[in-house]
Amino acid sequence: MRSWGLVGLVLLMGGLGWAQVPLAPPATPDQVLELLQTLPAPPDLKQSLTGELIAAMQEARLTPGVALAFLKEVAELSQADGEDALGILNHALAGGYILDPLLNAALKGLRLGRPWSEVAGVLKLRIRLLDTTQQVFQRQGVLLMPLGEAQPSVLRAPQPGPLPEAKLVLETAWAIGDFLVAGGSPADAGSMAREVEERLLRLRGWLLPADLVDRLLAELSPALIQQIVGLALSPERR
Amino acid sequence: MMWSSDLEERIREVLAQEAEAAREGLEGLEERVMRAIAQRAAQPSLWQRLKERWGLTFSPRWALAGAASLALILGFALGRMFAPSPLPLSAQAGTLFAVVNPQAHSVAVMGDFSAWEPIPLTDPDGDGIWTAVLELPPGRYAYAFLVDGRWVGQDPQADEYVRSFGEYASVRYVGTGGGA
Repeated sequence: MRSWGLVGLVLLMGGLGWAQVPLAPPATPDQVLELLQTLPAPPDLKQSLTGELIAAMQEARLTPGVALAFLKEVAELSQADGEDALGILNHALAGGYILDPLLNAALKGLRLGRPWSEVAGVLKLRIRLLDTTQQVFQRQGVLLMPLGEAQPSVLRAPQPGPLPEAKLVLETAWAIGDFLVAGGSPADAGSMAREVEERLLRLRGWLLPADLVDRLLAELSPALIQQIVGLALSPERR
Repeated sequence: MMWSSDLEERIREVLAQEAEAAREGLEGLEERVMRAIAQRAAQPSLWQRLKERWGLTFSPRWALAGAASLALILGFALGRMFAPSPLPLSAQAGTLFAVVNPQAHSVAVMGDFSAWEPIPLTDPDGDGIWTAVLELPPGRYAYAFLVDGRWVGQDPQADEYVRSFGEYASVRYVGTGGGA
């Protein structure tokens, strides 16, 4: 019935001649780097960020438009919060992760008018989950090396975007994070494992390579998820 | 002549016997016929029998409703046979975002595809159906609507919902992964 409703709506509007709404023109990497230089932050942090941002944008782990929107919001924060935000960004960039979802999460929180401390809490949890997902995957043999050191294999066809392994780490950590951020219990590893499985199966074969997903699904269990979450939430990691 | 009169006499006797025999059958014939007719008229019709057995009642309103339902079912069946399959509102066609709200003065959509910057939806004919079609690359996108500045995170057309910062956001899988 849902699809029929949609068809009805589409047919209804067909005669109205609506047109596609173009998204905002894409920002350029230069715009991102120029804005970074205007932000009040220690020079060494800015220098580190410059190199990491260039690499992330070149590797398509970060879209300039998202980075620019995030830095514009950082410019509106107090100096202390701004430095905190840039520090979080720097840590995430160094991990070799795909950054768009992380910065989009921050932008969503800021659009909702949440204080930076709350937004930062969510970002730090997300990054810890990315870190520990990567660690556990390496330990289990799902990943052969850390994402920051991984290079496209000479045997593999050139990838237009981020490495599939980076996408796998991201989607797994993100599914766990969605559960926790929504208020799910960290002890409920069974539910988190199901969320991860469902997410990966939805993305299998188009956004994620089927063989990579299958390799992870063969290892996936509540115990594996418990390892990831336990490491991410352990006090010594905070 | 004598033979002839004998014969006539014999015929008269036979006819008399026949008339006598028939009289018994004819006696009360009219009464019996009238009784049979009356019995037939008193026998209930099929509808009456159904009514008695199942308690059915006839109402023009219900008959009209039944006919309308039948027409609707027939219409859906024909539509299902001949209508085009649901439109793949992704890839080349773009992804449709729609809100039905005749009372709204402004509607926008924002999400991962716009760095959470609002993109206005339009309602050129004022029928309360606000729409925007965005050309999005394949992916998984979280988004929400702003209706007169109010956050509306649960789109009925979404594939799933996520909750963070105390508010829901909708999620669509755009591209070959299914979903709109």
